[in-house]
Amino acid sequence: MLAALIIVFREVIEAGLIVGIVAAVTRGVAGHGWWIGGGVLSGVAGSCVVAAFIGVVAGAFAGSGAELFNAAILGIAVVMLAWHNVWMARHGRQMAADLKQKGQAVASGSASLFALALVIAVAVLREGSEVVLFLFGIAVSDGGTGRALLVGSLAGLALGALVSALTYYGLVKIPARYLFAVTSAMIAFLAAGMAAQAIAFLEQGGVIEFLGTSVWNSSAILSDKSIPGRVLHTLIGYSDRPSQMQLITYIATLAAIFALMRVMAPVAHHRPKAA
Amino acid sequence: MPIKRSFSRLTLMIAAALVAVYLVSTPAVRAEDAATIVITLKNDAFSPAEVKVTAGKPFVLKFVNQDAAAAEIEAKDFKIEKVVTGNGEIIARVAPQTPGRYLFVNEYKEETVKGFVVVE
Repeated sequence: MLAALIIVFREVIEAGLIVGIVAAVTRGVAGHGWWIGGGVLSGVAGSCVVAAFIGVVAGAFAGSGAELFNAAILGIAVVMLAWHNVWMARHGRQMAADLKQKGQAVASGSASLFALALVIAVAVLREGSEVVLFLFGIAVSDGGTGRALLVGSLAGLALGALVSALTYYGLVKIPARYLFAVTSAMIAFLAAGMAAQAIAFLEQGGVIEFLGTSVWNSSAILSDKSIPGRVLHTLIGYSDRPSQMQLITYIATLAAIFALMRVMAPVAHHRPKAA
Repeated sequence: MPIKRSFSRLTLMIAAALVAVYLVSTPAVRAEDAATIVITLKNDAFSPAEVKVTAGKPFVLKFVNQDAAAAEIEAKDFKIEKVVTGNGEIIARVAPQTPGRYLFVNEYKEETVKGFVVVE
């Protein structure tokens, strides 16, 4: 039972963290609960579809289908996160000013909410399909140990939800004037880590076959498969043996997001008066 | 009005992402010239439970799952972490390795279901 709990928890912890962060980022925007719930539900639905067709997916592209699929959806998440940060750099201040006039805030917030809901859906989808397959495996094996495994799995899922809640309540404790800076940085690191992870998938899929040498190997100190390793992997993209290409991509993504945020930030005197 | 502009930019970015994905996924996958080793998973055991490969050469591991339950093949040293469905099969490409004995497991039952790749 404990083994099942750990397996499921390990898979859902990343999605759990991301849901918590997005909930904190979008706090105060009307309707954010619906977008987040919608993101999770679409992710779960998507997981079931992917789990059903994983054999087909894996067999595509000369056996590299699963890797390419993972790289592609990670790529989408990276673009959405980057876009959100840039959008917030441009409109965040105005949005805060408009918050008093509620209708306007809802309108200007929803475009960015869509991007973040998509990020949640992708995060849930990626690991969710593995949880679905694991649960399905329990269902088809003999019933003797099945029930204990199922209880363990549900406990693992509940722990994942707890991670979301803890992340959310931890973040919203941060004073409002720092929250924007903190969450922007978190989202940038989240995106950089996902970009590096996408590279790992492309390397496994045989698409990228250069700069593949490991830069370091810290698996003896902190394995990225352990629970603390997974948390760090999600938050800052920690990998215990990143390739050169992964490290380059990580740094380039961070640099690109921060540069775009700076370029797109409105000049101070160009603040339009709300009509 | 700003919302309209944001959405069109979003559409543009999604299109750009799709194009990028397409570009990235088209190059030919060059693993066909590497040696393929077939490993079968049946009754929660790998057979053969130990395979030998040549050091410094890329190789492909093909896992054939003859059990009804899905398994997640994991080999940390090769960065393999891949689900194989019940009665399904997957391949995993491995870059050239230095000599050694490397563990692979079914992550769902990692204490009991394991095998080794010996690189020499």
